[in-house]
Amino acid sequence: MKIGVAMDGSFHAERAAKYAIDLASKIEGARVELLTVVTYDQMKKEHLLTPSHGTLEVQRKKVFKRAVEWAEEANVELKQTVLKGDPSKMIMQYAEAVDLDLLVIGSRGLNALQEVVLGSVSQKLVKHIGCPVTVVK
Amino acid sequence: MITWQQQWFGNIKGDILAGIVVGLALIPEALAFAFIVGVDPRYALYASFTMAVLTAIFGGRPGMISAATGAMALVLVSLVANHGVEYMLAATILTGVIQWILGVCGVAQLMKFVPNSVMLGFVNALGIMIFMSQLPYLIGGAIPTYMYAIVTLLLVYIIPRFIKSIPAPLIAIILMTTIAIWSGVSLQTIGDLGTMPSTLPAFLLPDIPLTLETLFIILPYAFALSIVGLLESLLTAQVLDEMTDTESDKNKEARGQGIANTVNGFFGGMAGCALIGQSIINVKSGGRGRLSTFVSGVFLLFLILVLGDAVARIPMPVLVGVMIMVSFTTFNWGSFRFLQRAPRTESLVMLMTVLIILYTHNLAIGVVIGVLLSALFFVANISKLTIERNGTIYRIHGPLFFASTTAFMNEMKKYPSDDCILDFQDSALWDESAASTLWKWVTQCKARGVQVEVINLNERSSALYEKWNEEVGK
Repeated sequence: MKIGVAMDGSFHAERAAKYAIDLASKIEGARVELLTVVTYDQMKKEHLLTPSHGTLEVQRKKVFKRAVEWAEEANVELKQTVLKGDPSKMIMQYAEAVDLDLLVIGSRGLNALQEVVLGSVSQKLVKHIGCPVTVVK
Repeated sequence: MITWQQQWFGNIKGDILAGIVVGLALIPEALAFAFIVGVDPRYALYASFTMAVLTAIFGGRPGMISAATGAMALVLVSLVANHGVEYMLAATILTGVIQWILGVCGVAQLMKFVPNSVMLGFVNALGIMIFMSQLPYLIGGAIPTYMYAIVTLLLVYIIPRFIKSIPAPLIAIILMTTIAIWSGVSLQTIGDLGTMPSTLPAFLLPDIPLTLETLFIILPYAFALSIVGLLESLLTAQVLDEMTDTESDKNKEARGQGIANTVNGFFGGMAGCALIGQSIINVKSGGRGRLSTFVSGVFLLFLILVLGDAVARIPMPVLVGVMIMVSFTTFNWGSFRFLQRAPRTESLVMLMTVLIILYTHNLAIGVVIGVLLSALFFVANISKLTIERNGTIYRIHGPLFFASTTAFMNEMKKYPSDDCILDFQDSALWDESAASTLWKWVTQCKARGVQVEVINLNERSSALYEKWNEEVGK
C-alpha cells in the first residue's frame, strides 16, 4: 500500500507525515512516499542564491528531515521525491503515475498570506485528486 | 538526445497554446522597453518577433523566450539619445556578430567565472533601474494616473490567486483599459507616445556613415550588449534546464542569439535577449519546445498588426503598473537573506556590483568589475599560507603561488636558521613565482651553510621546481 504525504516545510505537513508514518507502521507492507513540490518561481529565485546544484537538492530534501527520522524509528519504508512545477498539479500527476492508495495532507500550508495569494493546495487536492485523501488537522 | 523533430513537434498542443499566451504577454513589456530606450514601439515589437522566431530555429534552449528586453533597453538608452535610432540598429547587428563569434569560441565556458554574487548584483540593479525608469511617468501626474497605476499593480498581485492559466498582467491591462475607456478619464495612452506598426518588418540597411568613426561609436555599445545579452540568456537557459530537467547547448544558444540579433538589426529591431519571466510563463503554460517560442513571436506580430489600434489605447499608468511589477519580480528578494548568510566577500561583491551598475548606469561595466573583484577576493582567500613546525620538519599549509610568496618568506624568516626539511604534503608549487621563491630560499640557506631538503612535492610541483633549477643552473 502506498501512502503519499505532501510536505512543504510547514508544521501542518509534519503532523500529516507523522500520521501517515503511524498508519503505515500498522499496515503490513505499507510504504510512505514523501512528496514536496518546488515551484518555477522558487527555482528562479533559488538559482542564484545557492552555490551549487547539489546544495539545492540537499536543501529541498530538508523538508523531509523529521519525517525521515520518524520513519526510521517506526521501521517504515520511505521514498523521497522532489517534484517541480505547480504543487497541486504535480502531486496529482504523481499520485496517478504511481497509483497512490492514499494521500495525506495538512489542512493548512506555510502561512495565511501565502494561502490567500496562492490558493489552497490542500483544497484543490481534496477536490480533484483521484485517490482517497486524509486531511490532518 | 532529443531529436530535432521532437524539439519542434514533441508537444504541439502545449507549445501552440503556450506560444499564444506568451505572445500576448510579450506585448506590454515590449512597449515599455521601447519607451525606456526612447524609440517608437515598433522597434521593440519587431525585435521581439525576430528574436523569438530566430532563436526558435537557431537557439540552443528549446522553450526559452527571447525578445526585446529591459536589460538591453537600458544599455541602448544613451546610444539612441546621443546618436539616434539608426546607430542602434547598427549596434544591434554588430552585437549579433560578436555574440555569434563568442558562441563559436565557446563563451559558455566563461560563465563559470561569473559568480552568483555578481549575477545577483546584476539582476538586482536591473530591477532597480527598471523601477526608476517608470517614475518619470508618475511624478507630476494627476490623481487618476497614480490610481490607475496602483490599482493595476494590486490586480497583478491578486489575480493569480484566482486565475492561474492566464498571466495576470494581461487580465489587468484589458480590465483597466476597458475601465479607462468606458469612464472617459483622460490619461496619457500608448498611442500618445508612439505609433503602432502596421506592416511586417522589412529589410533595411541602417542609415549610418560606413566609417571608422561610426564603428568606434557603436563598438563599445555592441560589446556591452553582447555581454549583457549573453549573460541574461545563459542564466535563463540554466534556470530553464532545471525547470524542465533537460540539458541545453549554451554555445549553440550564444550562436543563436548572435544570428537572431544580426537579423534583428537588419529588420528594424532593437537588440534583444532571453527573458526569464516570459520563459517561465511559457513553461507554466505548457510550452516546452521550439514551436512555443516560434508561435509566440508570430502571434505577437499578428496581434499587433490586427489589434494595433486597441493596443494604442492602453493608458500609460496601466503599463507603468505592470512594469513596476516586472521590476519587483526581477529583483531577487532573497538577496537580503543572502547578505546575512553568505561569506562577507560574496556579499561585498554583490553590493559593489549593484552600486557600480547604478552609479555608472552601465550593466556591463558593473558585471566586469564585479567579476574582477570576485577574482581578487578569491586569490586573497586562497593565498593564506602558514608553516607548521615539527622539530626540523616545516610543513607548509596552503598553496604557494605569486600571491602567497611573501607570506612564505615572512613565515620562513620567523624560524631559526638550522638544517631543516620543507614538507609540501599539504601544499604545492603553482607557478614560476613559487618555484623561484623556493629556489631563492634554498640557495640563500646554502650560502649560509644551512641545508634545506624539500620533500613531498607532487608531480607537477616537482616538474616545475626541477625545470627552474635547470634553467638557473645554466
